[in-house]
Amino acid sequence: MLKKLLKYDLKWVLKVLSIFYALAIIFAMGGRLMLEVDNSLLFKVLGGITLGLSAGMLIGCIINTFLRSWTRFVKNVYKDESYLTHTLPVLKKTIYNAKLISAIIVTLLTGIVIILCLFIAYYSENNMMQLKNWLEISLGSAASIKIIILTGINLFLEVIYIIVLGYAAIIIGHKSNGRKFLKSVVYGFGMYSLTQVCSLIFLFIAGWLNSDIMKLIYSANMPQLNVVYYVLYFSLAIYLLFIIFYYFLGKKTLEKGVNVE
Amino acid sequence: MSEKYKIEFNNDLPIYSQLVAYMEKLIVTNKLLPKEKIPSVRELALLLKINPNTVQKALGELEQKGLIFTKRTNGKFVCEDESKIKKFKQELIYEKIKKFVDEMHKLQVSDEEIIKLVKGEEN
Amino acid sequence: MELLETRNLGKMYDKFVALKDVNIKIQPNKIVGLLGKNGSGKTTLIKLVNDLLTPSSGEVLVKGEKIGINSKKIISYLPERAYLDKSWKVKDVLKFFWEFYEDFDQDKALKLLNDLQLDEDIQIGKMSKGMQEKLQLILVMSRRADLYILDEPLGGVDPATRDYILDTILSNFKEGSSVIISTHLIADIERVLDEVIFIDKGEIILCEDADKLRKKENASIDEVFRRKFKC
Repeated sequence: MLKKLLKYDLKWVLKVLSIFYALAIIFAMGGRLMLEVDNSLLFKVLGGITLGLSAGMLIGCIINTFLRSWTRFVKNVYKDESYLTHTLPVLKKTIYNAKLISAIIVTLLTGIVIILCLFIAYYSENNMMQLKNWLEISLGSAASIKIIILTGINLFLEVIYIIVLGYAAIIIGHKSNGRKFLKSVVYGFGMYSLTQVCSLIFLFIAGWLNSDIMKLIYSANMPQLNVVYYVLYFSLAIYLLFIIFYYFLGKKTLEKGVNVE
Repeated sequence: MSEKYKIEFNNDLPIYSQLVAYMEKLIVTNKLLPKEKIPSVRELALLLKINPNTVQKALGELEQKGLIFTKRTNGKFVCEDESKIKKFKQELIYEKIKKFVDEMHKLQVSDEEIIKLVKGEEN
Repeated sequence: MELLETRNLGKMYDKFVALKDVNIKIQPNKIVGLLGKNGSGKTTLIKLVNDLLTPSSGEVLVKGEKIGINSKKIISYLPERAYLDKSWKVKDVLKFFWEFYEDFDQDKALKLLNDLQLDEDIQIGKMSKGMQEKLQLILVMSRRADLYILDEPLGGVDPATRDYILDTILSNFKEGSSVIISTHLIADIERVLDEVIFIDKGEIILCEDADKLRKKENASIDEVFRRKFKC
């Protein structure tokens, strides 16, 4: 049943997103092509604009990754369509899991499209060398691609964390009678602020345990490489913690039942 | 077949007794002939736009009265025994007349007057 | 064991009492009319049985079990609103029902759609409102369920459509199963009912066999209803 639900969730979310994906890639290829074909000013300008369009589409991809996932949740679990959703012979938790897995898949796809577009637009041996140089200059000679991957995973987890937090806010907001949407938004911001404060507290605790991190907070200098790793792993753990917390908060609340208008 | 089953039900009275009375009338006036097949419960319910359980109950009563019978696999049929139907018709007539006469007596109409009135003779 | 039973079922919205202490029992093989004025609590009761609302008190049992996957497998529910994704085509929604409900009879649905000359490739959003309602009815009646719950299936339709809807219900519900029809248009359907439940201001006023009630009150269900509620 999870697979079937997931199929319909993905279909709905990707219906719009796939257009953004396609346009972003097409613009990236078009821009690169124009820059490669001719070195004249006209083509430089046109190529630049086309790459800008690609970047715009990528921003659209990111925004829609959030919005489509949340909208799908509200429409499917609380609006008219919920009359079908909740009368299907499936558990509420399966409905919830399908939505979450769909959001994870879509986030991954968006990430892949972003990397792909960057690659199409900018890949050359020269640029890769420059990137490597920049990393070595700013973080020391031991810096490697690993740091980029870790940052990528962090970004991915941040997106998932915000989406799960959104689901939890929607579920709690829709428990009340009336003004369900407004309350969801308020809960969402409230929960987000609260977790931000929590993560700051965690950071201070980490700083208390490790003085290098405390220095990071107070000084503007570029940190040591091992400290950067430390922070990256640390935030990875924090995001995972928040994701698990909001996942169970949303799940437990949804399992207690809904009040559909 | 379906045009036989056109009943104007009166919602004020139990639907099931109205259906029984109607079916009796169909049988004793030979609109439903002996051995004729009766539609299934579901078909009748659909035809008359009434509840299948009501039809079931009514047919059950008709069966008890011996006006219809069930062939194991083929469904329900009108009684084959014409004399039985005739006898039932007589009973029905007596019953109706008795009811009518009782009503007249209540209105203090004498038997002679009733006969005169029925025959259409002036007083 | 009852097919459906509610025990002291209640629903409150903040301080507003939508449903109070409802105890009903529905047996198999019955057509039951859930009769009440608009806003009497009919839809609230039905939504509670279908897991769309969380009870404030009491419980709902289907074949002795709390509502969940097993109850949803055997209840076929027609809400009083359009609930299908409007961007879907008719064939998409047929596939959806076929995928999720083991008891969905696709051939029957196709036949009924064919009777309406409804094209499988038409988008639901492009169909008339009346047609969408008929499509929903067909989907719901094409399930071989044990209990059909139809919320206001006759609301706001013309007499011809009313006949079509009643016919579709009567000729398609699974033998031996039960049907609950909620309505405020009693005269139109009272002849098909085995039992009637009167509901008013969130409370059950009366539960009775339809013919027995007619005999007792010497009046039609519609008339009895009017007398009770003076409307």
